[in-house]
Amino acid sequence: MYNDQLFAEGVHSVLLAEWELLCKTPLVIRNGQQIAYSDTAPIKARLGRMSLLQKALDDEHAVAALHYGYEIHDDRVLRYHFVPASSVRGSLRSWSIRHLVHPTLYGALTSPTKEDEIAVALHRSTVRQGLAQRGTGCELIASLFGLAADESEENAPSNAGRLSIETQKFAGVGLRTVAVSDVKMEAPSEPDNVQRQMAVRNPLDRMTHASRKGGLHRFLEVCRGERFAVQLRIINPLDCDLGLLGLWVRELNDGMLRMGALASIGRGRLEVQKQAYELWRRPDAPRLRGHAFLQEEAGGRHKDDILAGLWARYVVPSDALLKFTAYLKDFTGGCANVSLS
Amino acid sequence: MSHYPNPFDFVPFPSAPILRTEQQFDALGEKLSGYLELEIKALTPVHVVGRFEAGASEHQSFFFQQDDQPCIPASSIRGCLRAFIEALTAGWVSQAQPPQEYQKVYGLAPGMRNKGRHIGFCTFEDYLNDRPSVHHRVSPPAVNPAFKPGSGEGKLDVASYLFGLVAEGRQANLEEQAWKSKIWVEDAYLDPTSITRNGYWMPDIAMGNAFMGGAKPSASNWWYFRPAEIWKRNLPRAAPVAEFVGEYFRGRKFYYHQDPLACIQKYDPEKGQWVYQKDAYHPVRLECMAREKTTLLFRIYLDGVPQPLFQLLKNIIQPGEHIRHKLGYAKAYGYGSIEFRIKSANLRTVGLGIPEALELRDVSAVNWDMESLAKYGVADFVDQEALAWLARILGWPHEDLLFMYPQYMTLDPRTQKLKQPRPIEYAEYEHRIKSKMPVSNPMTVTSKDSRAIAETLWDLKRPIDFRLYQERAKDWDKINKRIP
Repeated sequence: MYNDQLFAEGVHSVLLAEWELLCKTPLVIRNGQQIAYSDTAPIKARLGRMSLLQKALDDEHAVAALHYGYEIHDDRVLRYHFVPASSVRGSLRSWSIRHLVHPTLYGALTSPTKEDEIAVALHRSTVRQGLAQRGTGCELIASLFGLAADESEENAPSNAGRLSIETQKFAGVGLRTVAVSDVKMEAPSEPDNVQRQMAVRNPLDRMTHASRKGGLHRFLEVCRGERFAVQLRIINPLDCDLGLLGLWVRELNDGMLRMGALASIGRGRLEVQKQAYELWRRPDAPRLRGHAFLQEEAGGRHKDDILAGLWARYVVPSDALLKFTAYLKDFTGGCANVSLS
Repeated sequence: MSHYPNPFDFVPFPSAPILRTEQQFDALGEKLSGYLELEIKALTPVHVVGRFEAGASEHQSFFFQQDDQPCIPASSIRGCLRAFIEALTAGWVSQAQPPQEYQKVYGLAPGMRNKGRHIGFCTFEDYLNDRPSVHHRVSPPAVNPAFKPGSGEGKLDVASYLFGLVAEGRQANLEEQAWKSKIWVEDAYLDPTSITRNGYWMPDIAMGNAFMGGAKPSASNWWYFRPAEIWKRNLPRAAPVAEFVGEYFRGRKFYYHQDPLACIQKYDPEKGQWVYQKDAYHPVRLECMAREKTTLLFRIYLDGVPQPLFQLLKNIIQPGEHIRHKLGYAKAYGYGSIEFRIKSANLRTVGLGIPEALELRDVSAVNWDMESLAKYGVADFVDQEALAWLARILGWPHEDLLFMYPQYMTLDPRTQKLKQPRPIEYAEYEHRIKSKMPVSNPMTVTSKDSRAIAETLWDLKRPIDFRLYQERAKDWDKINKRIP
């Protein structure tokens, strides 16, 4: 039964996961901004001396920008490219909903606009019904990713998620150009911490094969071969959480779980290159059913960890994660074949 | 003397698109997810435009690269497959020019692509030609609006179900309709040793317009358009001419396969048949993926595709012995003939609940005959006439057939002088056709009339009626006999 007091008994254990993700195909993370490029190539030529500009001059030279953040370095505000944790979280949540929740309940996990009172009431009732039956998968999603309710809705179920995610910025330095085919476009005022390229799409009219007017567009993307690190933390982990982690890794590696935009043209396939999992437990923490799959490690190289000496540390071998999927099946009643109808 | 057929032809539109509701598509059978691993083999050299250098005596177009490696972009592969499936399954026209592209243009407006367009039209909408000096006329939509994406009253076509679509609402108060793609295509990379510059080029002129002036469909002739009317058009300081007015695009354009090295010789100013007088000849050297070379393996993903549509997709990717796809640039000169080869399939059946791991599955080929299509439950989705036309146009092998654009200027073998193209004077037209224009001007023509008229005027001008021009071309009988 759903319990929105997930931490009523305190925090008794924490699972820390570290991934290094390798872009097997280019990665597109947009931020909604349009920048521009200039090309000095004469008439008929293209891709001469090119530079990336901060302002869109006209539609023809507009480029959809790549997501970036800010950091202060030597008293200077610098920009850097990174994959936001919300993107990673969104991809994992979306994949989990699609596979663990019955389609009739998708609405329970998407909030309607506040103005639509009927939709709000319907949403609330669907949420309650979905949460009441573990087999719907709603409980697991709500428990891991959180369940939001408006402040005014005091009686609506809500809870913070047990999963939190952090990402590290791309680790490149001095990468001041953007590839456009075999031309290096100067990008002096852009972040320089990842290899980027500018992709072009140009749909053709079906009756004439002429370029469709207004169809030509360009966007920046992270080149394949780039890597970034992701840390996932699950508070009071359950056996099913470990099974779900194993599925995420398998699906990422197979390309069925992608990040960013434009999966339709193959963007966002990532491979989990490195992975490490450790579980820290309070001595009186409830024992996981798959405890036998864990390796207890005392002291050693983790003695400086903030939890060392207080809680016990266990290593979860990456190849053991998929063994936990049986518990995921148990938790969701075997499958998500539970609808409210 | 017969001429070479035009390098492109049209797959005609049927009377209505084939549409189903999303639920009907979903119910076609169990759904599959996973990926196919494929390679692309170049049957003729393939060129995908990357950097383009304009030189003093010739231009150079380099093969597209990504990550310092030659690459056929996913969007090109996707476009190639989607265009084929849209034609084959009587689908919506997912890519078409916006209404303003073909509006009527008076005089020579600087910077306008469609200088002096005499009869305006729109792809899916009516267009009012409102200048009183010409016929006050509403041009009907060039394509039946039933083929406009999103016009299915909640239904959609096979291509949009598989490849996704964002369609504008039919009325202003409707929101966009969007369907997510169930097919994800990845880029196909090449080993750099697969690239060659050996002797591949295409014709062009030095500066200004492109060699063929780009694709400019005109409703003032019967090339892209089906015959509709004949007008008597008065011109300043010249005799009136007969204007062959068309309505409705003939269909969706596809290019024939041919040997590029043989084709481009026909455009060579020294050895060929093309006359360069107005603009200097200025070839474009093309860096190409060499014939017989293959790309590295790349993937096409499926995300919940019903089994019957997966069978159809496989047929489209590998369309049997007698059909091959075209992709990339300079298709009109024989470049870009390719073959997809599915090497393996890692798939799983999609159901509710925890997904199984992908597993290697056998992917057997399906035939195009009705019995096989019916067996896999896709016969209702295939427009048989479209299939017949696709087999004619994309027929493989190309049997050494050659295709060439109609020559703008020709050399009179008798006088050895260049013959300038000229419009057909109305008096000449009247004399030949022996028919007076009705008082109501213009004269409406049926397809039978138009053919007879084009035949009668054949020695004055060949490229009047596209269909007649093709059917009277060299080797048309061979093309016409091609079957899937």
